[in-house]
Amino acid sequence: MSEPSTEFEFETAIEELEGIVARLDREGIGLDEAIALFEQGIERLGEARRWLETASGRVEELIASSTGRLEAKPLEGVEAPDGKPEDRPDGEP
Amino acid sequence: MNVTRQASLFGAAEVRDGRSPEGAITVSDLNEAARGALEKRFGDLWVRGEVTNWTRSSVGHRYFSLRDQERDSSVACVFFRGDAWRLPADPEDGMEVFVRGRPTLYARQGRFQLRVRAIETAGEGLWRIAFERLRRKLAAEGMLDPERKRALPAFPRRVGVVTSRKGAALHDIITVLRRRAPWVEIVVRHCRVQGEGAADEVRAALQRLADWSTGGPDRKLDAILLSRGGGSVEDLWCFNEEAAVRAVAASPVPVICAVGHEIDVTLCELVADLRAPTPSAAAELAVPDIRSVRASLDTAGRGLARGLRRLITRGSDRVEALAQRLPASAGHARDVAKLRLETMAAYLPAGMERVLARSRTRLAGLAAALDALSPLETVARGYAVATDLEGRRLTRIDDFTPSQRFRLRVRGGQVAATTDTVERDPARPDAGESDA
Repeated sequence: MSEPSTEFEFETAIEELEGIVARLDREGIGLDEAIALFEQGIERLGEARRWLETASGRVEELIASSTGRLEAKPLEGVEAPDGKPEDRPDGEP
Repeated sequence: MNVTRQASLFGAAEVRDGRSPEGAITVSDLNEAARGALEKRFGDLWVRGEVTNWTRSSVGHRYFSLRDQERDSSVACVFFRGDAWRLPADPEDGMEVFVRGRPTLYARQGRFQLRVRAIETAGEGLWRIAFERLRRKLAAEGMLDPERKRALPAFPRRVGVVTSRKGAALHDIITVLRRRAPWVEIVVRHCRVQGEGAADEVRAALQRLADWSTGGPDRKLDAILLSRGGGSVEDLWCFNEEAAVRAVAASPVPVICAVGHEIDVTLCELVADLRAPTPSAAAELAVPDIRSVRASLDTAGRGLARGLRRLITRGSDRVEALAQRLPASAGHARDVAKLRLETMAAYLPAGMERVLARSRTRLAGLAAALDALSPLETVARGYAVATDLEGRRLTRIDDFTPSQRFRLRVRGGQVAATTDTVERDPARPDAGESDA
């Protein structure tokens, strides 16, 4: 994480967490090191959980502007349907 | 008749009924009249015959003859582009077909012909031929090889969707993606998914999303869903057209394709990195369910707790073993250390995070306690244990420096001491180890 990123690196956090668990499982690890790892692991776990429960991705539509440039605008006019998706008729009107 | 003739002599309105030279009609009148009569009399008919002389004009109209070989007769046919674009492949010469069309007259040349609306062959004939033709071509180019399939990211952050914004598929995909992976960003690119020109629109939409994806790390798409709901073979046909199929194969972003129902297989699906039976299923394949992500976090949390708990249990065993050999005077320290270990071991599984802050200090104390307890055993046997002022044991010659202040623990108390000289043993540098 050398470059600042506004996006939380969830996958990186998970990989770190798995690495920590693996190191904790190693034979001959000292108590001090174990505590430090545990602490680090708990911190990463907390961050990952908070991110997972709060992250909300945008739903956008890619539209070409009058100049031909592509822009992502919030998708409008497409409501989430009621009922099970598979139950409804499909295809275009 | 007399009346008509006289009237025409005075230049009054002629009655042109083609029953006399004066009432002669024009060629175009004749052809128009014949065309009207033909179309009124017959309407649309199914006609069976063999295709010959198939030609295609530059604007896309098709001309051919339909021939009855047994009776050696034929009829000219015209298949205008507005209808002919639906044709998946040109029929081969001599192919037996069923034509739906209206008998009519080409007025300019007075030529009798069938204006064709549709051509069918036995079974799925032309569709099957077109499908197989392109499939073989793609296979020969290696486009259908399993090795071409790319793995999808396990944890996608941004997913592109190519479908019609009017279709139900888009609703289904968004619903499933939001439910399973609320963190995922969805970028939709609309295109028509049936009708003339739809294949080109699919190609363009895939290209646009790919371009967008390369615009920066905050735009990078992990996968593209290409989809539409069910329909007739004809409705789904654009997903078998070369323009769309090649765009899927060329996409720099992995493509998950779901067209129609499970039984419908299109070439776009065959070249895609992953095929799904329905639009909803495509969305399910694209992202993990948040519940399984939560479960993997829980597993990692349990792994952390397990690692630390095992260390504590091991420490506890050590204390227990040492305690057995401790003199009665050390009983209090032993009890305190054991109590701490047991308390922590009990807390860990349930509320590790809450306990952590306290654990750290406690465990640090515990580590010191374990170190401090261990030499007592030696001291009780009449030996001295050297420690630095922080209580760390000094067991090797390398632990000592001249003028260093240290402590000696002996039976009955401690001695403050200072090093005079450090004399290393030449034969065995490690011989300073006093206890076994």
